[in-house]
Amino acid sequence: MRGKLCIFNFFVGLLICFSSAANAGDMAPKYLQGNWVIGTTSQKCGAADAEYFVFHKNGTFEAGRSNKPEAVGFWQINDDILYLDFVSSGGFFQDIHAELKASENEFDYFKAKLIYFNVEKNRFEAVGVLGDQTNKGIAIRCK
Amino acid sequence: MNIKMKKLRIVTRGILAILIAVTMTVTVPSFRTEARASEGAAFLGGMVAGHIVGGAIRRDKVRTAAAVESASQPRAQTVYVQEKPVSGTTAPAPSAKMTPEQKIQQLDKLAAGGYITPEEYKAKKKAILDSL
Repeated sequence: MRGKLCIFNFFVGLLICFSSAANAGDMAPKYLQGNWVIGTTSQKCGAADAEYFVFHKNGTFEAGRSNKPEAVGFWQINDDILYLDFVSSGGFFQDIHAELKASENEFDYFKAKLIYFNVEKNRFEAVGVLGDQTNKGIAIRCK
Repeated sequence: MNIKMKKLRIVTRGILAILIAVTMTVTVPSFRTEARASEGAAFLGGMVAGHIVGGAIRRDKVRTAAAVESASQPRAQTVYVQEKPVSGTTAPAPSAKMTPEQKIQQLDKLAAGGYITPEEYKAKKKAILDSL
């Protein structure tokens, strides 16, 4: 009986460990390093219209669309929040807001927070906050 | 205990993130717009674009307010002072718009002041009279 209980406890412990790893509550900096795309499946990796993020080991990152960089800056994780400090130009996003054509060649500094959750091995979800703007996205790891 | 706390922390953060998303969608109309704009377009770019446009609108409002305030202030009256004619430029002759009577009177003054000789006076007076 005691032996069965031990085996049961072992499997429960194992399950908790796997569950914890699957959620990966503490996103280690090493986890984030590499290439990511915003989308629902990894099929978007390398797609011409994909929005991508590259988190470098040295704490810098690059984000863009269609293989064209649109934001470059620094990233860091503090208290389970991913902080992005970056430089970008509104002119890059005139397809979203036409009036941003006036911001071409004008670069500004931005500070965004990404509250991440549902962290899995090759995928996590995040709610981004930039000033009064908020957005939700799913990041998929690319090989 | 530690694992339980960790799991509780993960669940809490997940709920918090979902609550933020739901709250923003319900309460902030611009968020819904941005969320639609960024679908398949730009996660980060959607926020950057919205932030700049929002900021630009605010800047415009500030500018408009400043313009209204400026317009309501009494303006100092501008006084224009005629500059001296630059040397080399030809000023219109004083006699151009004078009547023959005024011309003769001026001619009289010039003769009385000794500025012109009697011959010049006569010749000039004759010219004025001939022009009538």
